Amino acid sequence: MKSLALLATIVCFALAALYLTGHGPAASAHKIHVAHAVLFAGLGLLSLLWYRFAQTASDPTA
Amino acid sequence: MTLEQAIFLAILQGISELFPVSSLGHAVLVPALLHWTIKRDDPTYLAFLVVLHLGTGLALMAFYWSTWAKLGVAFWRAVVRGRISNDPDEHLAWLLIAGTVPIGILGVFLEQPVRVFLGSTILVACFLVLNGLVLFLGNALRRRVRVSEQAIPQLSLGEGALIGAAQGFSLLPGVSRSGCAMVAGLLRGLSHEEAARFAFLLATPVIFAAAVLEIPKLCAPGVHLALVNACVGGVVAAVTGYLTVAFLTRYFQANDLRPFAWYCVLLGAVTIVLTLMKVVV
Repeated sequence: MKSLALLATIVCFALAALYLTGHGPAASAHKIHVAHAVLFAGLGLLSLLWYRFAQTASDPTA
Repeated sequence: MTLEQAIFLAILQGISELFPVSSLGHAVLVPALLHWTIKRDDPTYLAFLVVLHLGTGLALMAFYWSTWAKLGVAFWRAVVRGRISNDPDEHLAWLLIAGTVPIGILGVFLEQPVRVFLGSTILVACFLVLNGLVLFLGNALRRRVRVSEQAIPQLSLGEGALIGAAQGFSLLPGVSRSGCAMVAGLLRGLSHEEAARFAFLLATPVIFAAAVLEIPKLCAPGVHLALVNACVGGVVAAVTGYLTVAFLTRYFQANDLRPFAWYCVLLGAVTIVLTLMKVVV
């Protein structure tokens, strides 16, 4: 679960960066998609929290 | 747009954003019914709507400020601890996150495709009738289906996400976000009062996020936002929104969704007839 959470965090932040620079998967004509970038940055933060929770679950002393 | 029109639209927004009757539907239908020559895709009009949404969002935040303060503390407590405890505030904070993620994803990816419906008055009126029927159905199913009544903190995160996802239907102009959330909440066993409270709490981050993301429209080329109209409209929308949420939280303690359902069906039906008679374009 920890690895999955970490992977999701990296993917989400990478997508946020791509959308912000106008290179996102759905970014037509290299248009900057702020809403898409903000969404994926938010999902990245949530994935980071998921990683934190998964870390605690796997290590009760943490 | 005159100041009187701005005030009227602000009152309409403050009320219809929180009543389960679709603010977007009203923003399309009412100017059409009153034969106002407001271009719905005019950048200045869109910028004005952003200010109205910010006002309504502030009103919701002000009404539930103590709840949001408690939820903020509970959220960080859970993050620091690294797990969610049995504390109701912690659970509610994560329920709201679980409910906001689906509408956030749906909103970002589907907002543009469904915007084409905004141009058709008759289609918006049909969606308003559909909204009324959904409210009737939700109300009737709540009474018939035997679901054990539960409070908001008893919902699972999956149920929270499901209620949040139900708000996605409100991307269709004429379908109400708070109505969809309330019907979904009722079907998961919440009372009318609890379903309304959860719908309003869910609405706060959505309205704010949508308004904040639209702020660049205020500086878009071609925008000539009259400062007086914007300021007065924002304040009027905030005051009306606050009074509306105060009224609705009391209303749903003893009443149900049927009056709103009747209203949506009747307004939608009248608009359809007037459009077919070419009285409304």
